[in-house]
Amino acid sequence: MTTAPVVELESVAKVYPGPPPVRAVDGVDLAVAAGELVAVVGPSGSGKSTLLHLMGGLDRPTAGAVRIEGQDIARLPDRRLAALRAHRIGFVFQDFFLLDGVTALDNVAQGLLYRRVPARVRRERARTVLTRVGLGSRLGHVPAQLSGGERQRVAIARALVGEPAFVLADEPTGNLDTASSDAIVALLGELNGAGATIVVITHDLEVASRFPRRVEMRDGRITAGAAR
Amino acid sequence: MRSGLRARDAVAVSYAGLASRPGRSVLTALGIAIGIAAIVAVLGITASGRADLLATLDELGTNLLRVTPGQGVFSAADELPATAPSMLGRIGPVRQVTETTFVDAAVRRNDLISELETGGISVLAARPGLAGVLGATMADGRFLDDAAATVPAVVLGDVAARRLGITAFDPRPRVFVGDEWFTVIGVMEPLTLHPDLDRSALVGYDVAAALFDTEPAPTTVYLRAAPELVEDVVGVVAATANPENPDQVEVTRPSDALEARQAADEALTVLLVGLGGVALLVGGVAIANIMVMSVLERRREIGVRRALGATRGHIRTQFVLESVLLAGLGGVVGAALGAAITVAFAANQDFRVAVPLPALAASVGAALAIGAIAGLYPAARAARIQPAEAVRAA
Repeated sequence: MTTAPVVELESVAKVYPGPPPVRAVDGVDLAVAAGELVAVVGPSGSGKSTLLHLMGGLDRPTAGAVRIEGQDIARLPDRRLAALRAHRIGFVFQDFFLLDGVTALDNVAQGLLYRRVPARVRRERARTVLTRVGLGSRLGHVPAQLSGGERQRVAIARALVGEPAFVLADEPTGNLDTASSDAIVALLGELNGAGATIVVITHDLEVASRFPRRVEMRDGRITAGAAR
Repeated sequence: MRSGLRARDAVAVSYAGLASRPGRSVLTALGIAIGIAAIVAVLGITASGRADLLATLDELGTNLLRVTPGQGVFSAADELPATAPSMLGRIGPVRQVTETTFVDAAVRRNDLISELETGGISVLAARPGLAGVLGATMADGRFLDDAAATVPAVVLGDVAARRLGITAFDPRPRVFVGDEWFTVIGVMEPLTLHPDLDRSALVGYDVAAALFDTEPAPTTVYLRAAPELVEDVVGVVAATANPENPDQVEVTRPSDALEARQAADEALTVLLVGLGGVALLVGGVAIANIMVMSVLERRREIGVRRALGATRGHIRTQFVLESVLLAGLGGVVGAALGAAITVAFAANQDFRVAVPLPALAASVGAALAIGAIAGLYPAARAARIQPAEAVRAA
């Protein structure tokens, strides 16, 4: 592949201070190109989540460089980093993190809230994306009225509504039963097929085995899959 | 490529934050509401009272002087010289003069009641001009006139009439003054500035002289002066009324008493507004407290918003706005409540309603300012939360 990586990590380390210091991520080199569907797999405590936060600009590395579409995030002020998250990155969390009491449509529309998009346009686009993830008939439901799998679809739609450069999903199937989990993996594959770049973190080897590229982590280091 | 939040969306986000915890929001806003309501009500009631008082003063006039025999250095007099009224009438700016003289007689409902039971009612000889000088109006009947001054007719003050049990005017009631039956020809409305006359029975000078040997020397002289020269008149009244012993003359201005009462009311108002201010302050602290708690509970929401692209500034704005909305809600409810209390109180007291609109606006403004200040610290804490930590699965 010749395309420039959308996100690239170079000798990245993240150390949490305090006795004893924890090297959550330790010398990681990784590049994800546009159009890829990557699973980062490893046992809990292996540093996957920290890696995902670094890739998404939610956290800054202690050492090394994280480049999102070529920009080194270490040099960006908070405002610019927030702008990068608003426009170029979509997040999906294990616990969905939807707003209670807010409809699926408005939850997804929140994905465009910090881009100064008018409310009407936000809703319109949210409707389109929700239909794409198969929830066209659930627009007016609040999270409490949706199943776990449906909630995760809403969260995925929220990550996708801004058409980001890439989507980072942290254990998106961690709280789901097998059937829902399979459906979410299938959905991610489908969205990837339509052009989305997706990085999924999982501790589930069975889930990971269904992704075209697997990066294995242990104790903050990549043990397999760093190179394409 | 920038991260931005439309103003309308910022308000909507903050409002949604409050609306998702309605019970807590209402209870928190209550403190501010009570403080504002207290301040607005106190200011409103005082303003209504003041408007009423000013109207009363306008009506009664502040140019009325009351001249009585005073406590001299060496002696005390019971009455003024008989010449006092005519002398006082010659002072240039004095426009009207009239006098009353104490009559040594008791007034009773009938002859079966002991003469010792006066009911605190004094009998005074009065001129027909008294009603005009005092601005007295009649609740019933008429005042003394030249004809009535020579016959056994009496006009009662408001309190006197009630104590004597005079309620109906048909047929003409009679009361027993001294040893004679007198016909009650009129009852006066209460006189705000002259409570002593409310407790009096007024008879004509001629009949008083004939029946009770009353001397013409007055016990009280009332005079109206040109309003702009009242102070000057006060200066010469004593020497004019009693040239021999000017120190035995006391001059008072009955409207001063009302003004003094008003000044006392104002001191109380300052105190009450101060208490309202304390309530506001406590309300502000309560808001800050609840907001800090809210920030702790909503770490995840903050994390998600940061992941969606919110800057630190957006998070700060969200929580400050929430606090401002909360206080503003309290302010508006409080102002409405205070205005309602004012209207109800004024209606109950028959005051003119004067809801002070500037105070209303200022108190809502103060509530908003308190909200903004109370929200600063919690908002700063919210903005400091690291996004990566906030989204970490619990």
